[in-house]
Amino acid sequence: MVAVSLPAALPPLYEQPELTWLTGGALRPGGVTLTRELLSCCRPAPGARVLDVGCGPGHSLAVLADEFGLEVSGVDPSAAMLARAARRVPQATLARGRVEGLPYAASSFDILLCECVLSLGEDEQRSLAEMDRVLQPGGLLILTDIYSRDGGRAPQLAVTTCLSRALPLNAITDTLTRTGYSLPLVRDRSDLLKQLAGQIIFSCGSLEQFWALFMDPDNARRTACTLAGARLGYYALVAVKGGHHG
Amino acid sequence: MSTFSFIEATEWHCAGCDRPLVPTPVKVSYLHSVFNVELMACPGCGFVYVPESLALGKMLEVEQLLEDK
Repeated sequence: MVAVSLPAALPPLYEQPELTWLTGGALRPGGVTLTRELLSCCRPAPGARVLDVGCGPGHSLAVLADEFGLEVSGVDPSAAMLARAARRVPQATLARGRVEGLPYAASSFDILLCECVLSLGEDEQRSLAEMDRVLQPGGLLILTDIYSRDGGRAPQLAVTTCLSRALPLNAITDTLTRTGYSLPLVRDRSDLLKQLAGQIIFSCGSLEQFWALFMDPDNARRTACTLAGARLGYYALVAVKGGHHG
Repeated sequence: MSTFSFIEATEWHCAGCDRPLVPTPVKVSYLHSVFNVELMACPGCGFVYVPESLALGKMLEVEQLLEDK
């Protein structure tokens, strides 16, 4: 999900209908096509317990339940998103919460799915530690997110967005390997980020006009300008807990 | 929910079908990416009219975006 800090009267960007329309409802680059691709690589056993961290309106939960036969749970801080997820996937077990404090006992899940959510948290190290806590040994952690291709220099924007919190990819992979994860799959999917940005241009006229849907014209111009000079990418990875001892 | 449109009143007719063009959702393939755009097209054969503002304006903007920086 992509979120922007907005005046209190406005809902977050990922609750805006424009982003829902642009992303086919999934609210992130790649949509459920990338979710399906990653799950197919993992070949999970039917009935495995999976948690979608930041499940949003439940598009991935539907894929996990209907196409892979998994026992699905979802957690999200937004009551509006959870209500939509409950309608879309009635069999899902849903809870309200944030990635930094997951409302589950240790080792509750065989698989964790976290799509474009890690960069929304306030502390990615704490978020990764929390996901590690609820994932059972040998379990799979599937991550996709924005990353900085500038070696750590995330764009400084007039507003706070997940784009401002983009980390270098090796900051994520180093933390995972230090924690004892193996990384059987790490893919650069920056093509999907560009695809979404291109679709925004075709649908809104320009990136600046897209940002102007949610903020005043000056901030929209500054945000578009800054992002035009930023080197951002998108990654997808699968990590196995306890698969690496080094 | 598109807030921008290439739809425009036009005198163009499809030469093959002799039918007026109508707003149509189409998929534009460009530089290995596919985009959903609404354009004027022939309801008979599917011929799509690409306006100058798309060919010389938005296509260039997207091309610059898709090129690796």
